[in-house]
Amino acid sequence: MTPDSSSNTSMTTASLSESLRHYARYTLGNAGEQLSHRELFDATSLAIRERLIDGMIRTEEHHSRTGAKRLYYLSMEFLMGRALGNSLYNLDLLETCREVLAERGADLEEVRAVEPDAALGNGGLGRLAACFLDSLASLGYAGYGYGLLYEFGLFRQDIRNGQQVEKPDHWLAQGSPWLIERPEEACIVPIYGRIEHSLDSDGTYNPMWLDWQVLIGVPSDLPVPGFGGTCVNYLRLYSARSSQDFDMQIFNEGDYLHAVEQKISSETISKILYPADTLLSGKELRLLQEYFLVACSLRDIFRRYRAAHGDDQLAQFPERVAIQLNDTHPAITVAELMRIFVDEEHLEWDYAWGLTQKTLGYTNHTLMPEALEKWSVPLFERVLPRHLQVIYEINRRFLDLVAARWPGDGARQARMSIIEECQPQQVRMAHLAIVGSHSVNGVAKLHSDLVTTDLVPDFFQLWPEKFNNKTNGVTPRRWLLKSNPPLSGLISATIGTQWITDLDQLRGLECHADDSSFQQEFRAVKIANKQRLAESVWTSNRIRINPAALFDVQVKRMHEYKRQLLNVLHIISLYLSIVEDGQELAAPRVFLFAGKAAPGYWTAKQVIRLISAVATRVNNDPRVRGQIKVAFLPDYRVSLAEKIIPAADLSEQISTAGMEASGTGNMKLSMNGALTIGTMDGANIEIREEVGAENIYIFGLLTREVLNLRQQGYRPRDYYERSERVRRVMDAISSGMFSPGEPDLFAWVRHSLLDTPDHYFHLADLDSYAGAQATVADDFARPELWAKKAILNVARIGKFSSDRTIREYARDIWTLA
Amino acid sequence: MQFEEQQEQGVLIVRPLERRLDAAVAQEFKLFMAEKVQAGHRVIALDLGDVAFVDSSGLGGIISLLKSLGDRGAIAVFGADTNVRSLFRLTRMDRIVPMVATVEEAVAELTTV
Repeated sequence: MTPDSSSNTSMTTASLSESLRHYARYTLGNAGEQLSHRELFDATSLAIRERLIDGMIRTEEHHSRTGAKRLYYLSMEFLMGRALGNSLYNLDLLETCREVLAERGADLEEVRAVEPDAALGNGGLGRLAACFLDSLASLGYAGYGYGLLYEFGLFRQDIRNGQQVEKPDHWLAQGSPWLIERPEEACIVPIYGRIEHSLDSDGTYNPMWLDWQVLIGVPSDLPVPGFGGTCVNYLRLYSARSSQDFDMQIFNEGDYLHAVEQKISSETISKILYPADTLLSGKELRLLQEYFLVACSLRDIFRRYRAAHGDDQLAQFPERVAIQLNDTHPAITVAELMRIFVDEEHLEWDYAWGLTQKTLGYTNHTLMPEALEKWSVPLFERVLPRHLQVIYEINRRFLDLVAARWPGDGARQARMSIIEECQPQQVRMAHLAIVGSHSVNGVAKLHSDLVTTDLVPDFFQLWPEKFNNKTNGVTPRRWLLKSNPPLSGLISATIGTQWITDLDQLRGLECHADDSSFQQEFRAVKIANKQRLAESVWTSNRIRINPAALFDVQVKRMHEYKRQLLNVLHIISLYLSIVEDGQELAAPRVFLFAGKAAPGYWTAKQVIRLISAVATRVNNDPRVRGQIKVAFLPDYRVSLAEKIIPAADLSEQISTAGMEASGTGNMKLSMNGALTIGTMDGANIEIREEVGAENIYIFGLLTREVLNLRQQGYRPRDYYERSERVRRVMDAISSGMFSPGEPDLFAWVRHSLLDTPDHYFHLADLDSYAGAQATVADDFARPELWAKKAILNVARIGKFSSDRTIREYARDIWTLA
Repeated sequence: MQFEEQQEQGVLIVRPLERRLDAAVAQEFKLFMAEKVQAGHRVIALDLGDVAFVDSSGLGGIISLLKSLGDRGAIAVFGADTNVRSLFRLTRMDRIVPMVATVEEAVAELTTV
């Protein structure tokens, strides 16, 4: 399973130094000793990349020699973050590199800080993909990511006058030393066109796809080193380029500007990443992006397959290739794979269908109906006419199966059909993915259960064996070893370093949870991390925060279901009790928020505005006497998460029950010794099982209670009338307390939460949440108790390593050896 | 656009001397082939040995040729590289235009029709 490590290229200080000098001189053209941080970053990364490329070649030779089954992970998002630090840790070159840079008078941390994040994703789904790649390589599997090389990553977020302002994230403006472009492996992708219904030479129906336009997909590889550097896989990212032939025609006609415009239009395909929560329905460019990813990936997979196994070995395809669809975004794979098998490889439909189903697996990531992708049939037909035909045929055969199983049940056929009968008709991508895959998994136990009981129960009845759970995980290399050197150092000094690749070893810390000297060291680590974050908050927000305070952290995409607003309501409640009731808190508290709102998501952006307004009021009110501080940290991204998470005391995971598929921030925070306050939602439930109910603060409605309350008719006014806290907080917001110049600025809060049956049940959960927060405050005021709980969180978090998750996928879905 | 042509066992063999059979030359290709059909050629083998890229206009030119022949003749393609063969398969044109590797196979295919 792992390539021969004996040929690993070691790197000494001298060789790295020489390599760095070489790249500075011959790639950057700088012969001098004075290099800027950016130049040092580029030269260092290129030097490290040499080792990665050696590793990639060695790994490929190994996988080819052993005939390893290959897993291709197709995802529209890979939230990779920075690569230099990660590579140095995984190759064990951190100290060597630090020394080399120190010789040049440079600080490694400062050099690492100039690297732009590869923000090719929105949040959990994209970061999960990145963690999976790390685990696949660390476990020695032949597992590769396939995605798009967006020229602009997720937007940069500025906060101006308390409001989010979006700026383009031109992360490739200065190029990337990590990407290896492979123009010789470019592929042709046809789009648009029409079907000509003709007969072939045998008189059989032969639908010909004609008059298409063409895009060129050019791959670039990002090396993905596993821990130890023995296995180096890759993430292959495609850019869209225009086809030179089209340009040539127009150039020939002398219309230069038109030619250039056409070129720009083709290259737009991989230009931008759509932010989450953007209404994608009807967005032709997004459909083109999804298809472009799928078409390029499958061309490449077939090219590699033929090179390894020849032209006539397709019967073995599912034994040698597994393809995982990360959400429905790449679900067109079902139709494209069938099209290739049937149209290009001339396989019989039924046989091709068997191969397709055995090859594909689909991961569902959401229960939110509005997030389930659908494409209108007219749009689909215009962009991908042949694929629509293939989908119709898949659906016709599938509905025959449904009719045979449930004769006369037309309503069920309509519910299960891949085509939704409405005006205009819609292609349901989740149904296509379920029908075309042999495995459908959710990403936490509760979520996987809800997929079968609430989301697609008909499909579960038809194929119960397809459905399974793979609880998410995060890579401990990035989220503990790299992001939290003080804590990982303490852990390694206490139980050794095996935990880095076997996170269950953290259990060895349990016996130290009551040990006062270990607790002291543990707390010293946390304080050091909090001091570091406090400096960063001062730099970004000009807010002084007290490292001795409880750092209460909610960092994640801004969304109503994640309920940042519930957190704000609690802050307001605390604030009022301090300034109006003269209450003294058991311990001072710092509320830290970070997260991006989709540019078109009004409410999410207003929540940022409210947080900023509350921060202004609370932070500047002398009556608060510094007992609470509030800060919204701008531009949440992987590298900022790596600073915040090690410093957190309390992890806010407070989504409405039944709405968060899994969450992974909850795992990262607990892994770094933060205690969770959360609902019984997503992976919180499993975290509770692991760390123990006494080491987590659970509150709020359960999923069934939410559903029941919704069915019965949720009346928020009942809570307003019943609860003094609810009344007080809502009245304070309505009074204009947080928007003195514009008293109605936050009137929407009352309207959303009180005057209408709020879909997210904020007021129903507020008292329960405040109660749990009171317990948190009491416990935090007892440092030994808090330290013990925090240590036990770290010790018992082993299950949530993405290594465990990947082993389960490999065993149950991909059957990798 | 330039062509090479020769005849073998009654088969007209046409070799377009272009790297790209695309929109820029498709019209010229169509006219050239239409002239050949008008001149009485009914069995035609296209040698795509020089062609590295065919777009849908180029394929459209071949379909026009096929349609103009109707039931009265036949065509075959040979010498195409992987990329071009892949495009023929992608559009399912390989179901109506036989694709073979060599001129001998093309002539054999067409003379046994």
